[in-house]
Amino acid sequence: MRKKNLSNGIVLLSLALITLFTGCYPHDETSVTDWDLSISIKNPDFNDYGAIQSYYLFPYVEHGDKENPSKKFDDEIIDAVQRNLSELGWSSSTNPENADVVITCSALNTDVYSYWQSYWYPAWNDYYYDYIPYYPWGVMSGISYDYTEGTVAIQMNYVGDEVNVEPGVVTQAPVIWLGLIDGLLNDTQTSISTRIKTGIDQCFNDAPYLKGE
Amino acid sequence: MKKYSIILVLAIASLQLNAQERLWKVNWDMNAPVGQTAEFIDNYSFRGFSIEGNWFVVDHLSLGINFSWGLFYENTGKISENIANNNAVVTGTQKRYNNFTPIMFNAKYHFGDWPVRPYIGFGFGPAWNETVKNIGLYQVYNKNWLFAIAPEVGILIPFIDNFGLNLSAKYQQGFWKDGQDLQTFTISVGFVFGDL
Repeated sequence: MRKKNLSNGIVLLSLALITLFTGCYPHDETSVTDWDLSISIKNPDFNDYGAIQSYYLFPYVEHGDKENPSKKFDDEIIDAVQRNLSELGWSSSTNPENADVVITCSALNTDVYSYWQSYWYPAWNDYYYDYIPYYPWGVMSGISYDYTEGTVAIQMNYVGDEVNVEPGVVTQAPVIWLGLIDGLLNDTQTSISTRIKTGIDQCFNDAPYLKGE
Repeated sequence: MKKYSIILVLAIASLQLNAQERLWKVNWDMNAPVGQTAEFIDNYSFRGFSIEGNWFVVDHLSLGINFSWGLFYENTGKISENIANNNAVVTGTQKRYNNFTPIMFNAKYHFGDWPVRPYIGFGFGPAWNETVKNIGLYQVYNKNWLFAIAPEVGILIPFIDNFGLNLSAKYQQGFWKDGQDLQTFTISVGFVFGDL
């Protein structure tokens, strides 16, 4: 009897510990800005960033192949890129043929829908799928979420001269820098606008070599 | 004849004692990352537990198995990270997780039959290690089985014949050839059941 009580005690304590610690898996309070991402990529084969003096910025935003894309943030995108290019000390050119680099902005919205299923007994998923509501743990049967992901890309092509980006290969107008910002669009318009500007600023801040540094 | 009888009785009693002597431990594990683990997540963790069984094979010496789980977590806030041979910079809020589940076979030497029983031990075995980095809407993860070792010191404090308190400290080192090693310093506080 004493051994049985001992075993029961160990099992109960173990289950209590497992429940306690797996139940407090960490999840912070999350704000929408926690999902924002800025990426700044340079061309490792191009090392003449300091020689760039002029740029041409296409005055519109490409919107991929989505029908009727939202263009309500296009002006903010162009303005923010223009401001950052000016702060680099480069002069704006009205003709792409006279500029050292040309910059193209593009934007993409992606609707994401996911359904996450969780069952008490994973091995029973298929068999019990239809019966889950009848079980007490049926309330755990799934969480659905959907969101819209927005991505802005800023592409910089060098058009100053024919450039050797690989030994023996001459490539015209290579991409020498790419700035990407990504985040959720499930937010207020004012907040999205601010986050886009912050993200574009961050891309340029993360590329000090554009200033020749 | 009497002499041999006494030895025989003692030997049988000893065998029965060894066969019966076992300890079960249920612990709350508090982990501190060190080394490469601390480079990934530099936060202490109070999320961990372990369950262990020890069987005495001869006096003072036990063999056993320990199953444990621990989790490190860190919200880095907004940070910039160089990737791709410093050709790209990624800036965003990172939420980093490190789950680890070592399954250690161990040997322990228990000192004396004092009111408290100190012990030293050494464990080895496989350890499941999973590192996850959530950044923006993306996730980077690595997961693998590692070979791990764990030297340990501890003390058993009996309350009654078959129940007491276990306190121990151990260093866990999991070796990952192509990734981040698992390196933790662990304090365990728990209950011990069995033949104390």
